[in-house]
Formats: sequence, C-alpha cells, structure tokens
Amino acid sequence: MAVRDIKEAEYDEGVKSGKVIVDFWATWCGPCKMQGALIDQKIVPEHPEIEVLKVNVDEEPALAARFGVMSIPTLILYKDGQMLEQIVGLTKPDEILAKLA
Amino acid sequence: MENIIIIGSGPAGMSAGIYAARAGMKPIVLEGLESGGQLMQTQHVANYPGFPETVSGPTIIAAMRKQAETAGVRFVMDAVESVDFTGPVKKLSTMMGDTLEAKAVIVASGAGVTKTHLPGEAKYWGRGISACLTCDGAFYAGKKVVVVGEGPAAQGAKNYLTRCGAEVVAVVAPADVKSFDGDGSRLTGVTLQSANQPIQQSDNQTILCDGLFLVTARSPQTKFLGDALARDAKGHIVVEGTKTSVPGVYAAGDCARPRHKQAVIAAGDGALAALEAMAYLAHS
Repeated sequence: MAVRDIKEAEYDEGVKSGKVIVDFWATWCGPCKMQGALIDQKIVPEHPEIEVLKVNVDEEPALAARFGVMSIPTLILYKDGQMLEQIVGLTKPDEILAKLA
Repeated sequence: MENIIIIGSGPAGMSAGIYAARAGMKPIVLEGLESGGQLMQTQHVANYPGFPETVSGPTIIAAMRKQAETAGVRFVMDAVESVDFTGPVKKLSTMMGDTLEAKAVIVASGAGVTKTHLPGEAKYWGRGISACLTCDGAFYAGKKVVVVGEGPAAQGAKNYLTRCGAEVVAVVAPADVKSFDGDGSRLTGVTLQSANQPIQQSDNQTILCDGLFLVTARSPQTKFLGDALARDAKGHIVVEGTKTSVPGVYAAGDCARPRHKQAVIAAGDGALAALEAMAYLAHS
C-alpha cells in the first residue's frame, strides 16, 4: 500500500491528501535505482503515513511532460494536496523527510 | 565481517566478483550510484571479446551480472560515502547509513563525467543539463539539444539523441563553452567563447537549446576515499598492479587508470584484484 505505481488518470486523486512522494524513474537510470532503494528501505518502513507513488517515465511520458521533468530521478513532494517542491537529482531520506515534516 | 567487499558494479567490479565468488569468498558488490557503470551509457561496443556482433553496454553488463549472481555474488544497492582503512579491518560507511566491515576491499568505482564548473552549470544541472543519455535522452524528443564533448563519445551521443527524436543543433568542444544560460528555472542555451563562431541556431554567440548533454572526458570517482589511499593529482588511485598504498585494499578499472580507460582492461584489472585480494587473505 505504501508504495505503488501510478498512471496519469489516477494522479490527481493520488496526491490530493496526506503526505505523498512521487518518484519519477526509469529502468535504465542508475541513480533512480539508488533513490528507489533509499525510499524503500529508509522511508517506507518507518513512515507508514507517507505514500510513495512511482512514475515510470517510459510508461507515463505524459506525466513527465506535465511536470516538465527533464532529468531523473525527480521527486515531487505533496502535503494535503499542496505541491511542496519538485526536487531533481538523488536526494537523501533525511532531506526528503525534513521537507515533508 | 565480510571477506571481500567490492565497490562498484562496472566491468571491473563484476569481474572481481565473479573470481572471488567462484573461489568461495561470498563477496559483496556495492552497486554504487551508477549501477553497471559507464557501459550503461554506451550503445555500441565493438571491442569487447566474445561479442562478435556489436553489442550494447547494458547487454554486456546484464550478462556479467547474471554470471556473477550465478557464481554467488551478493549485490547490494548502496554507495560508499567514506572509508576507514587505518586498521586491519576495513570499514565502509554507506549512503544507507550502514557501516560495513571487510578483511579486504576492491575499489572499482569507475569514472564519471567531468563537470566544467562554468557559470550556469550547477544552476541548470538537471534543468536542461544532463550527463546521462539513457536517463534523460528521451525527454528531448522533438526538442533542440547541444552535445558538449569531443570524439567518438560525442558522435555516439549525437546519434543516440537523434534516435530519441531530438534535434542535435550543435556539437561543441568543452573548451569552447563560456557559460550555460537559462531563464532562472531552466536552460535556454549555451554561450561560446568569443573566438568561436556558433555553427547554427545562433543568437550572437549563444546557441539556443532546450537541453544539453555533457559527454566530457571522464574523471575517476574516488572522492569518497579522502586521504585513505594515495591518489594522483586527478584523483586516480595510485596502484602497483592492482595493489594500493594500503595492504588489503586493491583498485581496478578506470578509478585507477589515468590512461586506457577500456571495459576489457577494467575486467582484467578486476580479475587481478580479486586474485591479489585472495592471496592477501590467505597470508593474513
């Protein structure tokens, strides 16, 4: 439940409440692999209140285009439906959590 | 405590892993931030023995990984942030927040793009400037891009981006770049040194573009080592064979090679480092 793939049609509903991390990634992106591992191992187990939505940019190019994603990993953080920040590049769990606090 | 930890998962790390695992060492390979290393950015490899047809870097890496996993290598998705090689037990602090201990370490951390440190680079990194073709090339379909680089690597990047559907408006040598320009939130162009006239899409000396890919000469990725190992002025680990300045620590591949950065040489280095590390373990 805490981590799921999201498609364009479900996006707005998916980010409209609570604390949400949207993770734009792709299979062949090395830093995305590390970003995913950091989120899965360091955020998900200790923060059940945070929902993690994964966007595979190869499968959902329209979502990447909508947010002007030009480089991955890119994270978008939401709190109670408000976009807090769009972060480009590998980001450490502590930094992500501080922004979502 | 582990017998052997290998830092890096390019050809050097993979080869070291295969040799150590087949000898029963149960090595760990820390994949690093660029899992698979530089070959993951290479579309055509024609000089790696055993692949008579030109093959992609990711295909070679996938084959190496399968072989390593079959041999018993344990892959861990983590990257080393700092090391302590002062005692007989080698300690590695990782991005995941763990401290790993090993009797022997093989550094195979490879090389990465050399940043230009010119005005605008840091500001627009990830906002139009990229060093990862496979990560970001597809975002520029239908858009104008510039390749900053020279030689076959720049040509390869141009071909790759063209296949992605991007329009490569210029290939520029790194030395010709004066600054990276943008509107505050994203890159809009690149300005050349005054001596050089832009080829096309010119706006005075500025080439307008939506994206820019750096394919510059590769620097060793060894900063995480600090003063733990002797390194040259450019950061390459100083080696004799694959032996570093610290007993029990070995280095293989591009992180230790000022010249001849080649996948097959890295793989050879990796095998040699594993054999040296095992000889060290046998005598210590």
